[in-house]
Amino acid sequence: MKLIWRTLHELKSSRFSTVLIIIELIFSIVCYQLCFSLTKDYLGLRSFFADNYEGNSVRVYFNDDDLKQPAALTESISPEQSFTVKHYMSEHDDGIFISCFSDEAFKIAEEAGSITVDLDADYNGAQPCLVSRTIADKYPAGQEHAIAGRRFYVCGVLPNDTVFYMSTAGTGSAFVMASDRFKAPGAEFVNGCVFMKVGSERMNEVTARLDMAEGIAGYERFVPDDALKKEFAAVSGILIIGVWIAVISTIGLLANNYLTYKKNERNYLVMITIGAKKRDITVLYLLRMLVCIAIALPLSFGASKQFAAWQGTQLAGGISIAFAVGAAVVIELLSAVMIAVGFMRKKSILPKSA
Amino acid sequence: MVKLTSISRTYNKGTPNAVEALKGVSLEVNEGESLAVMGVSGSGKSTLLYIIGCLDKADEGSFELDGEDVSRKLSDQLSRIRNEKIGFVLQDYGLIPEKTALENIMFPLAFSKGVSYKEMKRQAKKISEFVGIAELNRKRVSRLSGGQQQRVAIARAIVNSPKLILADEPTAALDHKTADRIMELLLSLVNEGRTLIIVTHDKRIADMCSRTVYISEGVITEGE
Repeated sequence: MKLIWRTLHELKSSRFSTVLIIIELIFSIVCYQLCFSLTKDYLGLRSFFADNYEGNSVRVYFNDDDLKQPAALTESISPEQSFTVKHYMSEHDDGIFISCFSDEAFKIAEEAGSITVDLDADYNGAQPCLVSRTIADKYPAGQEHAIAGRRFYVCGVLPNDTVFYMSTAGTGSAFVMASDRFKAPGAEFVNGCVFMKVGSERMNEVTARLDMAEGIAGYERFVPDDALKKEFAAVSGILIIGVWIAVISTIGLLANNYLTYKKNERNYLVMITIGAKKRDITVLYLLRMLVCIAIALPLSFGASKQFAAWQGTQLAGGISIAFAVGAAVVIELLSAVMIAVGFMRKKSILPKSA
Repeated sequence: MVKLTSISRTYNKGTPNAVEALKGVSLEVNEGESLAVMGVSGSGKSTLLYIIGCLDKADEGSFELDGEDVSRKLSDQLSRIRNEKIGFVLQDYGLIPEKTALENIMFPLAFSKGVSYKEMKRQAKKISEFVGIAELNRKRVSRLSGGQQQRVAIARAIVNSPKLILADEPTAALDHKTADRIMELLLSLVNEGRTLIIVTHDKRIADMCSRTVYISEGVITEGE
């Protein structure tokens, strides 16, 4: 009863700063929530755009040798010799984007006799791939194979020995597997298969080739439209502002705690004079913080939920609310505990008039 | 009641800013006695008061309070002694401005063991009547006059029935008439058997006490 009385009086004696801390907490939680949520959006878009998003392209048909003879390769291209990957976009380890085709374009390619790999299809967890003719006997099409601990589903056999490429696309990967005679520098050779990667340093070359291929095969390229670019710029901009507000709000939270303590310090010293132990004061101070948190939590939950609903990301919103609340509470408690520890370690307890 | 033997206190010891506030002070104050401590600013009288009030510790010497050696006591034990045996009246009253007079008076009891909330309230009301401020109980102390605030401070100092009352310039901020009334009140407590030690600059106030000591540069020069 006495502890409640003391806590109530502690709250009452610093009504203004208590209300400020509660508002500050709500504000911080909403800010953090906004930041977490925006970061998620930002990262999603960031990976989408990556460094060289301008090079988003479609299709590759070459091996290392062919790259040295663009004209020859261009001439050799025909739907029968090529293959098509249906998917949205992806980012290679090396930085190349391989991407794809609208359903319509995919259908056209299929009808034209191109071998197709539908990355959107379910291959039971295996990676879809194509094999070159030379190893088709070993790895028949339409079957799953395990190579070096990786599971591959062979979607088709390329009708020539020219090989070629590999892509990783979004949720899955598509590989072309060839015999080792096609092994290029830097390619990974596993169990008779070559996994070739197109390095980012060859990006220009690849892009040039793609342009040529596009012209011949009439395939579409994915180029981010203005709306998408705008969205990315908007999210980046709001995120930067959000981070600043969150930083300011964190500083506000810390400063508010400290100023409240400084404002009440004289009262604490008076309490010491009349017989309070330092521990009593510390408990009082921490209890006040807990009450502030207890009041701010449901309010900030409500406010953050509104934000999450506004952003239309319920699950991610929920996660970011949890993070935001956690972060704000941790900052609040940490600063309160630090101040309390500082008070406990305070050497002089003399009242000011000393 | 109070027995100080060769008490020394140096602030910032071991640094170039070291200040020797008390130099081997010895002083004895008997139960039921009223003692005025006089001296110029910086002479060490407040330091002496804080050591007697267990708010500060002496570097050297021994200090007995009510027959108990308190010089080696731990911080928590000193808090209990302050709460049970000592009542403080400070120059700036030391009240909590946002609280009412009654709440301020109740406060020391909030840190006492075995006193219920009901008992706290009852005791505080009784004391506020005793010091003549019952009608102010519900008022916030920030709205009271200096004399009224000092009465609240005195009520708070005696609510725990301490044996020793320490007053640091209790009348410094008051006019003569109010100061006299406050002194009357304090001396009436002495008549009840309590011990009073007052730090003051005012000779007139000191003359109302049964004994006066003068302190200069950390040494008691007169009336030891």
